Amino acid sequence: MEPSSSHVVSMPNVPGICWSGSPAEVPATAPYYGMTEDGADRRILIACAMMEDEVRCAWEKHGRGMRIMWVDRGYHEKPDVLRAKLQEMIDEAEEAGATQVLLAIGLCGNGAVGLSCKSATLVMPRFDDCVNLMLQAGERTCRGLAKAGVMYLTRGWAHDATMVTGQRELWVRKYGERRADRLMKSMWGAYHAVSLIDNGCYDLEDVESYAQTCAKALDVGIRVDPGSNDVMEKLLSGRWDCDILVCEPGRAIMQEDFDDWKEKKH
Amino acid sequence: MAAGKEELIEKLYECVVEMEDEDVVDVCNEYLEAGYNAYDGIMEGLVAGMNKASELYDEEEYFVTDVLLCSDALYAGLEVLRPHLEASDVDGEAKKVVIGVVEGDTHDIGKNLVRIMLETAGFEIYDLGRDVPLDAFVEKAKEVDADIIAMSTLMTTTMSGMGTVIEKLKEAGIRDRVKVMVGGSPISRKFADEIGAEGYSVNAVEAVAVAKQLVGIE
Repeated sequence: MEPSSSHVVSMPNVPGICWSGSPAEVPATAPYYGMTEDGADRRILIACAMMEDEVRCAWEKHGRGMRIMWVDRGYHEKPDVLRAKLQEMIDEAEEAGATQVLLAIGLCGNGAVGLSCKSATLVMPRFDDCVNLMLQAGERTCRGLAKAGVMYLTRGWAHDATMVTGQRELWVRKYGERRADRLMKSMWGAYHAVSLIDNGCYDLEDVESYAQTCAKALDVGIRVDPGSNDVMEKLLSGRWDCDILVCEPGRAIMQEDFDDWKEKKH
Repeated sequence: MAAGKEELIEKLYECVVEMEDEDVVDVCNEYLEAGYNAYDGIMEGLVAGMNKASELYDEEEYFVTDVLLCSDALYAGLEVLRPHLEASDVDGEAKKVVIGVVEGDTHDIGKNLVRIMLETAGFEIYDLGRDVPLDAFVEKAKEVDADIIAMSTLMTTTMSGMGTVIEKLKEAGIRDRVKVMVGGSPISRKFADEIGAEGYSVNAVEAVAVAKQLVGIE
């Protein structure tokens, strides 16, 4: 079954990119994983809008022709709701004829646990969350790359711009200034730095203002941590190694799949 | 005319439920000046108020922030009344809990709620805080002869540290002397069983029942 060209997907407003995709747009360098003998691209990418920049960069290099279904940002706070939403979208992708369903998400508080495809191959990064995914460059060294007490930001994360400041305002209205400050210490006191992940997918200057607001609210400094888009590119290009989890049809994603591969080896 | 004991105990209760961490100090002082028993003020006023706050949280009428502010009132009141406890009031048999968020994670709201609930239920708490080195749980448990080690994490990247602590307890030769309970958003009963933790609870209120059951308190 051919993917329906009328299949409706939620699309970000990124100029210059045809998000619906079609075989005609597949670059001359194809074929690649996911392409069938008739030249049709039967891959569908389900991506978290939090990583819109990162997905866009990888798509331009390796994914043209692949259709994208976007998941709204913010589901990471509700893993059970995320799981239900993702399974619904996976089912929709399979009904649209996908032979490979790629998930551009992380384990996200176990939100990915239990997801499965009936007839397609399900593929996703073997990372606990998008922060760890974006901090990974080169060979995998450990499972958790994010440091405790650091608030990591990208342009995607900065879209939740009222996360810190809005909370204080809410508490001031409800409890008054003194108690709001006490709650800020309790809820955010563990953070000792705000970090911008420099993965080359967005302009750091776009996030600087929000980073400064966060840093001021938390009374901490700002730093830049090197990152990369290697994992996203592996996912979309089909260069699947230990950073990528590949589940055959009917096989559900398990929490254990994310255990460090070196630990598993021993 | 001075307020009666029951009236002041009711005020202590209300101060905690209403998050009045400043007023509670005045009420405690008034209660002591009237010569009333500190233990009754704590148990029937402050602790009863905190139990009510827990109930409201369990019923989703109170948010986490409400409970934290209620606990501020509880601790402010305890600071005033505790020094006036009589020797016979102090229960020498209080069970000891070493609690903390495992290394690599600083999310401690859940852990703080569990600490408050356990403290209110009469446990003696040794709070190691957040991002706690795994060896520190073992060392503290040995030092205070703990009955329970309670660990939490919000992150899937750090949950394996809980299993490491249990291995370290075995290496230290004290695994049979201390019970382990775990919790946090990504933690499941299955995971607790896999690492060999005796206790698991899905929330702070249930954690009290789990802890009591682990140490044989009715």
